Amino acid sequence: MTCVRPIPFLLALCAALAGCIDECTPVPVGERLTLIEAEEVLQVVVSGANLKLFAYRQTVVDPFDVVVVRSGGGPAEHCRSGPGFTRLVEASSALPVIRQAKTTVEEVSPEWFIIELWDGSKQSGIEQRLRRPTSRDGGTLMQWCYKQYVVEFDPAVWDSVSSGCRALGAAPAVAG
Amino acid sequence: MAAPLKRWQRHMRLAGWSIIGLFAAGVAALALKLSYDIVTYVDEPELMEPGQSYGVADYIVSEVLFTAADVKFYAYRWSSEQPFRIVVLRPGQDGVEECVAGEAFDRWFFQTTEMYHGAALEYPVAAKPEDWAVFELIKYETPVEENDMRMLLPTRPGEPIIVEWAHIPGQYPSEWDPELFALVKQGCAGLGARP
Repeated sequence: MTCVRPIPFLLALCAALAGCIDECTPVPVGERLTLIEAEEVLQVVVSGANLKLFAYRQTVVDPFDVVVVRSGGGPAEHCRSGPGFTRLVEASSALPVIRQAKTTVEEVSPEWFIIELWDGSKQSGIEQRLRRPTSRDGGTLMQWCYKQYVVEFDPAVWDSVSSGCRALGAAPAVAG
Repeated sequence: MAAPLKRWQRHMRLAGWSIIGLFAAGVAALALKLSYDIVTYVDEPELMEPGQSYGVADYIVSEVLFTAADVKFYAYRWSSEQPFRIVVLRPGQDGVEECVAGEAFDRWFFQTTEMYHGAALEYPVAAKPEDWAVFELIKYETPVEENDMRMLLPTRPGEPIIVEWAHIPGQYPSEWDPELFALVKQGCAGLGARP
């Protein structure tokens, strides 16, 4: 009579059970995570600790109307979007996922930005939390559910965001 | 050759295997039920009962966004101790309105940090997409789920604001005061601090 080995069988069941209860959508490590089609975006919000950006356009063929404000004060920057803004939208709409971060970093710090892209089709936009690179690690982190992933994100885009209308706009910034 | 098992030993072996079998069946049943619950949660969301839709601590809100076809209203603050500042853009118009939020904004904002709704509409409103406005509270320091919704502002006095959410079926009357949302459309003139 062949003996059934119960312990591996039970372990297999328990492993399957653990997999069943992970409700977050899996992130495709090693692949591109496409959140929204960049050319369909109608509204963008970028929220940082010291900089905030709001942009909208009426149709997909219009340029964006961009407003940038900074915590240091001063009037809002206002401009039409240029190539720099297009790169921001494209970079944040589809992110190549490199790997899951081996060690997580604090979820709240001035390096984190919320970037929300909305195409007008639903009640809410696609919101993602990205941490710009620091001198220590050099990579952009993405917070996804309760995990953090290293993603590919052009560092020049972060510089453009910091520069506001000077880098994102098609025309000189107009105060107020 | 091993001695044959005594009767009580055969019974013990049978009991042992029965216990293992029952445990395995229980684990499998639990796994199947959890899988079913997850699948049905995603595939068959239910209408909400009347009551509180959400409640948010006001101090964690960093930005408020109200987007309609004729006005883009964006309010932000750098910390919970600082006042909100308002930026308003109007499609088809040049320039941007900018001001510090006033008392009317405070009344509107605190109202929006929680919502109570009525029963789901038996006959949902078939409005054009451009009639809907999107409302969102952004919480910069709190990486938790947002509570974005879209709303239909009433066109006649006495009518409620109708709201709907992305992942919850149905349209619901909200207890929010439509008059305060009418001030949002006035931008700084309605919600800005008096000079």
